[in-house]
Amino acid sequence: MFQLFKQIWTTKDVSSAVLMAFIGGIALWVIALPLSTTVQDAYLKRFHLASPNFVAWSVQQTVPSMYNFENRVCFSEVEISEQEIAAALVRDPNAKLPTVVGPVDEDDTPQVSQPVFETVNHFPTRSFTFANAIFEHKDNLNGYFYLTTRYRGREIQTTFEMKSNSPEKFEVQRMYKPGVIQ
Amino acid sequence: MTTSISTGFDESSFSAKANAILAARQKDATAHTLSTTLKVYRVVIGFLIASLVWKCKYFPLIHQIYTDHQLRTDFFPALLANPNVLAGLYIVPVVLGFLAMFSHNKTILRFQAITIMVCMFGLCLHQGSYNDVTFVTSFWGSVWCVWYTMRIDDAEEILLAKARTFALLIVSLIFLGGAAGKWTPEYWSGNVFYEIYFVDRDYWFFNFLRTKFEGEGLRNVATYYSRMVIITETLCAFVWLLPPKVGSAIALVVLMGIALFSNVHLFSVVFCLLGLMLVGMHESKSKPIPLSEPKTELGVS
Repeated sequence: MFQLFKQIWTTKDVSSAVLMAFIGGIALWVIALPLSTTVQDAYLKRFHLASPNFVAWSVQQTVPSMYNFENRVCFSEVEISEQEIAAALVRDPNAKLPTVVGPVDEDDTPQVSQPVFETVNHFPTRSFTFANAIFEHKDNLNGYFYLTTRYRGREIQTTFEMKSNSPEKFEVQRMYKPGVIQ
Repeated sequence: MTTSISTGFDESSFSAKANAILAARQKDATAHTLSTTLKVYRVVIGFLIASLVWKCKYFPLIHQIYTDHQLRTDFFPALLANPNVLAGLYIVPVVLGFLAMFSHNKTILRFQAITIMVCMFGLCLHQGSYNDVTFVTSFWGSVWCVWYTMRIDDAEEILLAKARTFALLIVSLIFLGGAAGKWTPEYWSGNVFYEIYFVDRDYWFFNFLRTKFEGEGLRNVATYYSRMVIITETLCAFVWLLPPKVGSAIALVVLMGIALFSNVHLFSVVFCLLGLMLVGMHESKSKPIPLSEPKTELGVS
């Protein structure tokens, strides 16, 4: 490695120096993750599409982060209270999220479902932006997504509301300003 | 008075012949260098395109879903939420990568590599693909390709030595990124992998484990699995410290293991990294090309 540095320096190899600096800069950012709460917050907000702006989010998108953090997602057709969410998140076996009563089926029996938190590998927002998730919800593009991401004691929770007037177009909006919980 | 001594030696004729031989040798050397460096480049670009092609079965369906159900958020710019832009960002690198397998012109190779890198970065930002790590690893593979085409005039030995080192550094960085996000109690306990893979993932390895273990036993296996992943990824973040051939071989085995034992879809993530590791394992058989030719009395080598 030292030889490479020396070779780059003596031959004034700008393109190699730029690549070395790029790799080194990203590596330092990754190494800072367990050490700095500022970096942790930037990572967590990135995963919830909650960076200060799109450019700040974009520059982090080259940082490798597969299967990072504990990311959990819950979809519900009805709004869930903060207390119910908190109980479900700590995996309390007695905690039950509100039952959702849907339209009746062929036997005139109402369809009853119970929202649950699922663990996903990264970017919990994929639960409404990625194609397989959209396909899953295509018959009713209305509801609420509760997302949480946790890393070494820091956590971010975000609620998104999904609204649609037609199957062709739907929108997802953040309901509250996201905050990192310590 | 000047004395002319005839030696029967025609200096100008000899010099011309020597220069012709030198020119021919340099031409041969250049041709050889170009072919070797191009072969190496084509391996990397081939694997990079394989990463994208691995997804081609699903891509038309994904595009159809995005077209039929258009999502609007206040986060992504309209351009980066457009399904046709996504299609362009996906198809252009595949076409250019295919053409790069036949390109010889340096300018064209550089243009192709830069365009592929820009498209990969676009895929890292698009609403329909930002969450897919395939495009992050492919972006890093394309960064290597841009750097390589910029230095393609370098002497073969020097270029390949640097190429091996940068390939290992990039793969180490990918491992580091994966490991750092797992240095957390939820992964160390095995909770995260248990819920993602062990509960109900339909894949041969996890189906097999579910037939052998149940309840607390399966939960314990998830803990060992998770810890093994964390330790392996953390150690692999340092493969750049090893001799390139050894480091690349280790990374190659680990990358293959990740895809084979976790999820066959992960081959799209690891293919471009496998290409980089093949560069790491490559050792040139040609004689090193000296940076300066040794001089003789006649000024030719």
